[in-house]
Amino acid sequence: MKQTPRLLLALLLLLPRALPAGEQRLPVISGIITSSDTGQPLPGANLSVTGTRRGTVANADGHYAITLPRGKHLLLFSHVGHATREVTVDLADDKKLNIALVPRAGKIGEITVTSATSRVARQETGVERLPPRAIKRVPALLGEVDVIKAIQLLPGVQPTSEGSSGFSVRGGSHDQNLILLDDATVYNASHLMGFFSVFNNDAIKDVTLYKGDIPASFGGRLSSLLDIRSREGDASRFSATGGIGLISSRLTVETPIAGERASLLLSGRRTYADIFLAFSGDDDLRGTALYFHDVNARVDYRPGKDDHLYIAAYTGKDRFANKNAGMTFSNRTLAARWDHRFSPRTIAGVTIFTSAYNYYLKSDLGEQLAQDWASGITDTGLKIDIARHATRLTLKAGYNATYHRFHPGEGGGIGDDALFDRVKHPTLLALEHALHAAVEFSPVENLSVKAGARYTLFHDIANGEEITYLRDYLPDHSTRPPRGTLYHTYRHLEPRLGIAYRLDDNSALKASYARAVQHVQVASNSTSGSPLDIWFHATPNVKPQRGDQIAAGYTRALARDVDLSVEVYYRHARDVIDFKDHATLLGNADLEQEIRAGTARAAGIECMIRRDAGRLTGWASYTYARSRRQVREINDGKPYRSPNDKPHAVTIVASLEISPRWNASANWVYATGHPVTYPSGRFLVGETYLPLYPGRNESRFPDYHRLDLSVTRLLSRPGARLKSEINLSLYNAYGRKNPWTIVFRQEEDRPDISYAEQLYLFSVVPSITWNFTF
Amino acid sequence: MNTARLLLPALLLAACTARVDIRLDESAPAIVIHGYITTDTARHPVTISRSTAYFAVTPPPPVRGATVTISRGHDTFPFVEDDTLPGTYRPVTPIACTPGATYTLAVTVSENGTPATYTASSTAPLDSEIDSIELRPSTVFKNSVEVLGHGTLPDNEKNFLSFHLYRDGLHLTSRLEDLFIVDDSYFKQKEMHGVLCQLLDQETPATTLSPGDVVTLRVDVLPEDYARFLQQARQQARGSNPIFSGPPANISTNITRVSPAADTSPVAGFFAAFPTRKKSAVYAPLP
Repeated sequence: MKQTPRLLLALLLLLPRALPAGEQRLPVISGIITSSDTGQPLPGANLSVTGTRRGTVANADGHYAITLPRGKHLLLFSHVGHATREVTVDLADDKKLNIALVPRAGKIGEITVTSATSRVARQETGVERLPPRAIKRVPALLGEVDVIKAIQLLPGVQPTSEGSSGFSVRGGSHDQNLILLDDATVYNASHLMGFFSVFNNDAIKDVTLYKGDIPASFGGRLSSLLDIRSREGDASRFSATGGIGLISSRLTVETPIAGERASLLLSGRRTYADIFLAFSGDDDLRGTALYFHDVNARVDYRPGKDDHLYIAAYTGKDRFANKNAGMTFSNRTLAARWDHRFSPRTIAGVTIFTSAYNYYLKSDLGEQLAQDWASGITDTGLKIDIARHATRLTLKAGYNATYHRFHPGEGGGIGDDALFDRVKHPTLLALEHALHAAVEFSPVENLSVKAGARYTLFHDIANGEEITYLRDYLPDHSTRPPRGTLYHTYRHLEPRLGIAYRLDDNSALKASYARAVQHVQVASNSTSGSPLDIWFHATPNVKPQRGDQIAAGYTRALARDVDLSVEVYYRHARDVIDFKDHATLLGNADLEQEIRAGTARAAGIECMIRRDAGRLTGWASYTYARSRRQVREINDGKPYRSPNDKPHAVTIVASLEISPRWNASANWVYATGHPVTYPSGRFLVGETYLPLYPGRNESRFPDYHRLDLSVTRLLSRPGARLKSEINLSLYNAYGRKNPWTIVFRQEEDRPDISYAEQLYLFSVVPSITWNFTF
Repeated sequence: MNTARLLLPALLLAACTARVDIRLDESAPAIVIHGYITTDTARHPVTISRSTAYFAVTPPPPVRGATVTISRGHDTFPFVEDDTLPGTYRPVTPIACTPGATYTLAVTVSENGTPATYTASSTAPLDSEIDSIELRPSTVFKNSVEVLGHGTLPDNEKNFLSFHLYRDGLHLTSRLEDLFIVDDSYFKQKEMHGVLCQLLDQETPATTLSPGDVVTLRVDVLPEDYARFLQQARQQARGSNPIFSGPPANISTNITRVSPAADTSPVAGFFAAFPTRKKSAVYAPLP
């Protein structure tokens, strides 16, 4: 084991030269695939070589590279929403070829995920890509197009509660998803209690969800990676995109700067529900602040043909406040990246990033009771990636490091007359870093293999406070290591393996294995997730969560634009955390004493059929999945359903191009109700009836189902400078009262009479949005 | 800080409620034993009953004919069943607990002809000193009267206090939901100088004061496990918010089954011993 980091480090340093001489005889063709209308790179664009079963996929920056025999080849470049482009090349030596794909004209209703043929060609299991134009056509709550809500329609993905931006992947918890925006972690992706996500679709270039086969260059979560890349501004001309909706509006402008070598993109949104509240007859509501706003900014600079630099920033803030109390929470990310092409075969990139999530609560109930509370987390990190392409072999390696600063909380009474003391929980520091390397190769015709490993080190850093060790969850003894020392380290090797075998031109078998280790998690026993989540990290008392997942899949192209995929998976995780009964999490300085660790198992089968092109596009999926946990101190040590155990899930997403100007979309979702603990009896203490419960999560909510509809009318004439469309949507079209929660109450005047009451968030929600671009 | 108070208005702008019919599984009936003794010498009751289905409209059936004792060291205090309140047992002679002493409750009942024995122990914490109380209009809560306490906290390692109110002898906080339970973090120092102990809402007839009313504050110094029981029970009675609460769980109990060992049906309730103090003031509204 001790040799592993040295081996990975050597691979990283020697990678640019780590190729056998004999392999360099074949030329490599490489370049960037972009969209002709925006100049934007197209991540996930597909390249296939006619007459062979060879091909490749562009990376997150649109780069592709493939080694081919000398001679003539017919290359097919394709990407969803763009016309396929055929290019004939006569290769004698390494060649650079940038390709611009033309968007399909007049299409306003394409909602496909990726193309059918490219999905067969891909070697990953459990990977889904959603381009912004696909997300845009999914009917949305209040017309606000949303990345996360679109992700929740994919097989194996479920919202953690009605209306929430939290999501569960293959039965995992919402904090087991790594959400990255330009390599910076987004710790809370929700606006307005989760009704909207923090991602502005107008500022997004690409969204990729890895449900298990996470590349070795990423780590830190057990369930999934949601990799979101911001959009590069148009370097050729000024343009603007925006929308005006019922509760929010947005505007994005992009412009070249310093000639066409640099571009700027600025994008912003704001809701204005609080503006309407100002007209309320209710005094309390009139003074209420209730809004969010966010801004994305990105500057790109290409000093030469082999270099690309960009700085991308996001800042967003939510605020709820009335005259007695207020709450603010905010996300910020900042990433700077430099990509350099050393040669057609070798590409490297460096990212420096920081991200922060903070919230602040304040109550102003007079001098004695006024209180406030602040909490947050800050990350600062570095990411280095190198890729080297050779004949039938691609080597990738890199290093990434993140310095975590956790601020569990500070606050209490305000002022000299306050009844409550002020407390400050010590800031927790940790350094998480990893070396990774992977190789992709084809040992025989039709078989491709992707093998890699990630060696992770997680250091707890002393910050001057006493480190208390627990025994049986109670304080045992303390130490005071010198400030700044690495007083405890976890080391883990995370192997990854993916195999794909092309049975023929239209079908493929795939399999993968991945180990993942998670060192940070949320202290929340709420199944929905809340803005008050407290993130904490592995310590000597809290072991990191470790998970192993195997998956196997079969993909078949049934027709030119229709494919079927079936995937099965099994995941076993150890040291998964849960919280003891009646745990107190918010404001608790002794959080570790509330944690209990155990095992989790999840298994399922996901079936999906989809059509990529034509007037009717979309997909239908069915998932059968189970997930269970077992923790010695919970539920008497017996296994219990995980909070996201929903055996049956059906999703149908469809978009119909009625005419070049009219498009209609619909989606219908169904899922088994999520597990819940209902009372099974009651008893009397004094004058109060109290519930008696059976085991944890033994009951279920009623099944969830919902139909959303939308219709879009293109308003502008073809060729007009100002393009605009109007979108009408109906969320929950048949008014299904899906419970957000069910509580048990007693009659006011007859406390001996109990009843159940459900709280539901949405009935039919209509909306209208005008979108424009010029 | 009551975070639910901050967030729920935003959520409820969009939300609706509706009563729903839910079919619940029914667990095996639990035996429920609840009782406490305090430093007041009295015939403190111990109640024994069984749980019912959650939506039952009948009261919990009392457990009659039980043998109940409380002991302290070699001293044992027998209880007898109250003739007028089935399932309620009282000591033959009035008893009181002593701070620092440990008391053990033993209960034997007949379950289908087989004797079943239960037991629980509790150590009474040290006592507080309440010098006086003060009544004044609240400057924070509209139309409310604050009850402020002056005194000294006891020298326990940790203190858990609950505050009860009486108006002319009528217990105003008899429901668990109305209890106010605090720990040491509520007090900045051992001395209590005008600490807010309870509130009387003057818009609710049941708690409205008239000039001349005698208001009594009762301060109980609770064992930690009993305070936890009361807090959990109070939260269950008030209802929890799913954003800030985990899965519901059974309220903790210190009642344990001694025999028969094979019986796994649930047990609920609590037995506690704790000191209590009272102080009164006459209500005279400010002119």
